[in-house]
Amino acid sequence: MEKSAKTEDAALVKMLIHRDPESVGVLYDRYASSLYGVIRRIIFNDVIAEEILAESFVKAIENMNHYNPSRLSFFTWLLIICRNLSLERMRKDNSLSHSYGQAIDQILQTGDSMTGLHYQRLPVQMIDLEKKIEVEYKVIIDLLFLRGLSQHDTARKLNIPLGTVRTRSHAAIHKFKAVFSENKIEE
Amino acid sequence: MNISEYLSSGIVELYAMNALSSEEKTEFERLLVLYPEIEVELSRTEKFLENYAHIHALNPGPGLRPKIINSVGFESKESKDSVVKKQFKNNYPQLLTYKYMIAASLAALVVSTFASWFFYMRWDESEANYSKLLSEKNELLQNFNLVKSAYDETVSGLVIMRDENANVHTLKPADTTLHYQARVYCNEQTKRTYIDVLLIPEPADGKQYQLWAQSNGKIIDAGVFSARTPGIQRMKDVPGAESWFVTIEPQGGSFNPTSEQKFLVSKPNR
Repeated sequence: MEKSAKTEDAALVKMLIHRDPESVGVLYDRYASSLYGVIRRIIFNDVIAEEILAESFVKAIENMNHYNPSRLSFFTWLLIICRNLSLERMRKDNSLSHSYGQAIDQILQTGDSMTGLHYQRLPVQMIDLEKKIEVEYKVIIDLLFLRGLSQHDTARKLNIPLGTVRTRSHAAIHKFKAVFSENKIEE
Repeated sequence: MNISEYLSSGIVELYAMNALSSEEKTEFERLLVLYPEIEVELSRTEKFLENYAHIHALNPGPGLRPKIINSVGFESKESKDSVVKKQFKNNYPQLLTYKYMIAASLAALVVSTFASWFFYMRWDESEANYSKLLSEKNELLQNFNLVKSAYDETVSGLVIMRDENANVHTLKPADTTLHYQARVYCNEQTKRTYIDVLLIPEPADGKQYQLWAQSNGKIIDAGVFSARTPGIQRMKDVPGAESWFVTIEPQGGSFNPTSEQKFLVSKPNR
């Protein structure tokens, strides 16, 4: 399963580099909603979030020659571009910064990754999962991964040392992986 | 380096979430090349994070898909050619009402203009493709060279480590809670001495690590070395020693150890 995802990504990257007109549609169908989920958790505005997704696609495609498959996966590379553009845009706008800050404060209390979103399409699997994982684990992965909070800011917000941010991330992902495979979430 | 400790420290997870500083990233990528276990753990972690992101996916509005495809603007070849053809059809129909000779020659002019425009477009496109291929090839070549020199370095490192006639000395800090480590290889016959830095922090600005050998009460200078070099570093020739130690010296090294404090020491051999 892992191998076929990697080869599909490699084929898609090739198509994009060759400016194949079909490739953008394929990229969109495969990854747009996962990337939008991340953008929308930083930019609490539908219109701007969609603009950022479009900008991210253009930027990623322009920089396709700089993607190095020996380091991070294609999706991770795309996610980093989206997250960085979102954070940049959020910081320039007072109301976006405000809603981002509020969401962070709320997450610190509840670990709920749907904070600030009105969408009710939470998949059933997720509702079950949410119950099985400790709040502190949900919080740390949400902050570092979805919201793009730096390791130092995370340490400060959680009032823990940097080493603990790291060991807790390791424990959190370990726990998530276990719960995922129990519930057969991995493909 | 204790690989299982490194893997459970959370650094892999932080790298996959892109939460490390650029120095920390560079250090991680250096170790990634040296230890395949890190690559395995990184793949697993990335796969999990990808699934995590997919679970948190949200759909943007339906109009966004065509909008983005348009913004990127990859055109198909057919659409380019037909636009050109249409333009010419619209601009020149009135030429055909003139006298036959003039009409015929003008028609020929149109056809040849169109033909040269058409071939120009093709040439332009293939030029663009060619330069893209060229830059792609250059990038591949660069990547290959990087990989090749990393490989060459690894092979020469192996040769040194496998030398049966070399004595291996493990150097550690006196304080056993610190996990710093280096290994010294010294062949007493050829006097060739090497150091392999396993885990050592960057020294302060203007300072450098220096290796010393101790033999029959004499202290011998084995030279300075870097904490950053990924491979094995050649030191000065030493005719053999009972013990070794590392101190922190000013950049460029000193003739004699300037501090009492030994940063790393070896266990005595005999």
